[in-house]
Amino acid sequence: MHDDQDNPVPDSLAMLGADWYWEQDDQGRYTTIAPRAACAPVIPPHGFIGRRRWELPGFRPVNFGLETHLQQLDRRQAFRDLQFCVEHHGRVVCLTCTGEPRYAAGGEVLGWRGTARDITREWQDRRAREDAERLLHMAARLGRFGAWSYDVDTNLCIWSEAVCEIHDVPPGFRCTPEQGIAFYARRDRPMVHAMVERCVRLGRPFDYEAQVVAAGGRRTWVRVLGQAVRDDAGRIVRVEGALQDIEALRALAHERERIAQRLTVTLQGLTDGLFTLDHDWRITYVNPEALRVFRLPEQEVVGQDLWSVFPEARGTAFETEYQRAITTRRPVEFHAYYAPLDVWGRIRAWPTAEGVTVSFVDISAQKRAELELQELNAQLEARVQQRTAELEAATQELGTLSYAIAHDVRAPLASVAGFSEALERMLEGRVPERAADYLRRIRAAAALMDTMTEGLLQLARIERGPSAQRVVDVSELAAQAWSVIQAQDPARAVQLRIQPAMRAFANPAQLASILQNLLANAWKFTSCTPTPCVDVGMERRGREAVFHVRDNGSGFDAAHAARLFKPFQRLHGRDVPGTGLGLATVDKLARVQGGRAWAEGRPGEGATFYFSLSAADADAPHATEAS
Amino acid sequence: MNCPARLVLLADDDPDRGLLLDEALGMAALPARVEQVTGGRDALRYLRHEPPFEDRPRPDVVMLDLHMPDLDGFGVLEDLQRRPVDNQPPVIAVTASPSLAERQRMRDLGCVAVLSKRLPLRDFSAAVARAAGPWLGP
Repeated sequence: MHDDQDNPVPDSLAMLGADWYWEQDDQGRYTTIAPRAACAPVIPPHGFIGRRRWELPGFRPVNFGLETHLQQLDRRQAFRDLQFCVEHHGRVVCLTCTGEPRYAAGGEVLGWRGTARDITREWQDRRAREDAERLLHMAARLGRFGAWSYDVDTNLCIWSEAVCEIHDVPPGFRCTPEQGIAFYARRDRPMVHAMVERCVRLGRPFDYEAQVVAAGGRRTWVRVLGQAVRDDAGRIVRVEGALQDIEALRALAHERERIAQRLTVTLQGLTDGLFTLDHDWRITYVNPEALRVFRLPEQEVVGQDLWSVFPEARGTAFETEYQRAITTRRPVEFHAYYAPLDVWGRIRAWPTAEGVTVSFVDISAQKRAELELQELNAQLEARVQQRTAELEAATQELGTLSYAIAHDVRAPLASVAGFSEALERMLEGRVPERAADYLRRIRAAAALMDTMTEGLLQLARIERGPSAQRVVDVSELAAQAWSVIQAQDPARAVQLRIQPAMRAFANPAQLASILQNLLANAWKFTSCTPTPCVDVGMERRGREAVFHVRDNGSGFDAAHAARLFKPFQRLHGRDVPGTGLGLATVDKLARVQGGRAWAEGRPGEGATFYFSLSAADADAPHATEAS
Repeated sequence: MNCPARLVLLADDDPDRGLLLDEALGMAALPARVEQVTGGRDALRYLRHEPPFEDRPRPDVVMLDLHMPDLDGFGVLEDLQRRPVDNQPPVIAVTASPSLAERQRMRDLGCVAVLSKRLPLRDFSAAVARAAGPWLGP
């Protein structure tokens, strides 16, 4: 200790500008802390005394490794600017110290001595600068931008690391402006050259996009900015600037432009009309088809308020539906008519971030056709009603006529018949045979006319629509009808075959009438046939039962087959008895039961009359095949 | 003139029917004469001795045409049911072509028989004799 006091503080150390002087023993423990009068250390001396450096509270080396330092001490080496942090009352303090070993006169080591200084402020500043530089570097890497500088006096350009990277050259690359400009694509060089030259000469800043061909041949779009820096005398001494790799940005912008262009082409060519509205109902876009329908030039539509362009649409479906799309955030579709343009549209509106997009199709033609059709239908309906009324009136008239025939025409007929009969009796044997013959003819004509009116009445009375249908034994009905006919002339022999067990679903009275008429016909037209023969049969055709009455009588000309079923259409002369109403009656009776009647025949070869009815088992078509 | 003892009242708008009925009665050898009115209302007045028929004798049989312009046979029969006539003679309906339903209705309204006008005179005569004979016999 005492030796130490013999050693004066060396001038060299004092010249370091230290804040305080220190000594340690041979174990490295502080023994002396001597602050300079003007400058007290942040930490009071008793905080150090008796402790080794690395035993100070919160010790943390800043610019050295502890292991290396310990080795330095072992080797008795001097050290400089050893920076470390310690904590004092929760404050981090950064110190720098410089030291050397101190020896006794005999050369034995006494310990260490040196100076120390509080560099907390510088350390903090340095740390902040380092952080900023690191962040800047990171940003430059991420944003692919860097700085460059051109020194007019040295005629050299200095590039930041990022600028070097963009040009594919190693960091620290330096070049003349000509060499730098040579990196630009050939077409950009004159422009870049001119701009740099102007900036150097006139101080005019520049901002330009150009293509750089990097050392490796890779082409990159860059944005290059520059501005002049003047010295105190106003002379331009430097040009400083930035350079950014905008390849990715340009690609993005290019893609965006391409999409926008494609969208424009699509919208322009769209056959639907389309326009967009912002949140203030302003029209922001309108395509040509929409303009065609609006019959307006683009400048009178785009940028205008929708309701000022189409005032009549306000308060109609247009407004409520667009509003609904906005409120519900769902697309809407509706049909609407806009009177001022006389246009029907099918309209769709989509809510968008900007407002609403509206597309529409002009469906005026379709709508007009629809309306025309509706009108036609209405007219048709009216006509049907009118015709129905007329038909009903006609039917009623026919009913009245039937009544008239029954009661007003037949009464005088009965008088003719009655008086002629009375006259015949009165004059019996007292008049010439010719007069008696005339009287008979009068009576016969009256009787025929009476029969005809009866037939007409029956025809008129046939009810429309099937009435009281049930399963009927057709074979039995045919046999009954035949026996009535035969009773009128028991002497005549006509062979009759009736297919057994024929059944149909029909009105029994109407079916009996059909059979009676057809059998009477067959009876009548076989009167001149040597061996008359009548056949009644049935055949299934799907759900129908087709019946026939066939005879081998006089037959008829097939050309007149259709006429047969019309009233008073007689194919035979007056010598054949009949009213001319039998087959008309058959036809009508078959029709009201849902069937029909027809005939086949040839002159002299007999005739076959058919009529169809619903089969008795129409719902089970095969049930009767076995029987 | 020797008047027959029996009287038939015929209500029919066709004057021929009176003559023919006369013939038919003659053919059937029924000694009755025919008095004809041309409507249902006259028939009722006749039976009720109302003007202009106050002095007419009571008929033995009434033959009633069902279809007449003013009041038809059904109307007459219904009126007679509502306000019966004292000592009412039997009524025979005569019609052109009655349906089964019409026949039944006439019987329900008190007709003793229904005859068809369309029969030949000889047959009509026989039918009249059958239907009216009991009241027209000598």
